[in-house]
Amino acid sequence: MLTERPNSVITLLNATYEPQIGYARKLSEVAESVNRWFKNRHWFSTENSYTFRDPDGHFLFTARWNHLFFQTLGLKPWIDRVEEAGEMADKVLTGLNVKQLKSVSFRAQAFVDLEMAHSEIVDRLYATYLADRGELSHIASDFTDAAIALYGVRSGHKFRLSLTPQTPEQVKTSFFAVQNLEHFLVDKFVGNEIRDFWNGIAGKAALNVEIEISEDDLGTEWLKKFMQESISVANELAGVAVKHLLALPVSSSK
Amino acid sequence: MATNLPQLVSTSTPTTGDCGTVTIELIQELSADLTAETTERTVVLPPSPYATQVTARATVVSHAAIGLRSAAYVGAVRRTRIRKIIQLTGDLGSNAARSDFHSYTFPVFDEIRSLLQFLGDREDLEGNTCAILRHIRNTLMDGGWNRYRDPGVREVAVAILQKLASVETVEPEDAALAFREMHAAGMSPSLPVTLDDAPEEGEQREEEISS
Repeated sequence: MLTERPNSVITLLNATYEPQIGYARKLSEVAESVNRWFKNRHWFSTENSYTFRDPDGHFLFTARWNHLFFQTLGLKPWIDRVEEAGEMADKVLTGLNVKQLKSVSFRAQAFVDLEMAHSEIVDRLYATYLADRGELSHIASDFTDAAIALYGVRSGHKFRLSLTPQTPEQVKTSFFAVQNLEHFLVDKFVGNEIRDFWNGIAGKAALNVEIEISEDDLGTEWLKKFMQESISVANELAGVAVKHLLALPVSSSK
Repeated sequence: MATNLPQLVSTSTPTTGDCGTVTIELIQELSADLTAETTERTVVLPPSPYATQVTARATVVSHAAIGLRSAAYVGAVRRTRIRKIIQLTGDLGSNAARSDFHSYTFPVFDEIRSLLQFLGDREDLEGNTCAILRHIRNTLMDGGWNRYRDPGVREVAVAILQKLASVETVEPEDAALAFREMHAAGMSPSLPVTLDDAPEEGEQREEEISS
């Protein structure tokens, strides 16, 4: 489902680890190595972090003393570069002598246009995930909105799935609250990268589908596998979640 | 302000604040047929040495349009409610031998009637669904419910309903096929015709004319 709407998806892969002794020196060496490998795409640095970016490719990478993360504007940049990202993460973790990750998570946030009004999406959320509003009449006379979060395991991975119907105004607030958006601009005065993405989701009610696939205490040798698998798990999960909301048949459950 | 825009339900008089601030509030209510309209307001600002802020806010009140229901929403409701009808139809088997079997078919009939009532507002989107549901409803009328004692008949009805519960749009071919399947199963999908011998008002019987 996410792959069918790649231009309405924002992704974030985050891996946290215990800082190792001498990390400050090692991190700068690692950053130099990554910069050479990533074709001099260093963007900015702080005392304990190095950020690289390819704004044309809607791709951002930050390595810090205790975690690293990749962020993309759109799903395709992440799918196209996931192997490259795996290599970059490997360089950082090897350089910092990290063997074990405290946690790793892949988050995909999609603004799914269901071609429904906000009130209709809310109605479907009650009808499919909650309860008929009539059955809840002893609680309130009217229910104008809803949001749900589900936690579980799919294909062996822990997940958090949240579904939130949004008005066009809420879509706007939600999108512009995404962190690091400004770093996707080639030129902050004239860049169109964010506007192009925004134009694809603006002015319409949407179902905000946020999926986070996560693992704790993962050996670094498993990170690349997680990066690959988490895309398909998130994609499947989003697909069955939206199909359930639309009362469309779901082929199988895992 | 244009006066030929019936959708423009409310406007406010431009208000000028202390610092040359002009605020214009426009509320645009979409007409039921979603006719596109343009609203324009021109405000002449007096020359001023101070910065002047002009705010024009157009608010779209979309309740009228939402009331029409989107195709995706109507389709989703159709699939959800058809599933309930499938369950009710499938459950008929456990009471098929009862003499008061017809009372068990009533919930199926009533649910179809209720769904037809809902879909009736958007028959332009769900016309084929409505046609199939009317056919199934007809098979339950005029003693047709008796045929539902037969498991084969119930299976035919359930199979047709399952199609309605699984597709995004119902095509005319689906309606034609459903009619043929019901007919082949010995059901009566056509609306039962009640023959009324009573003469229409103002009409005289032939024998009366001849007498």
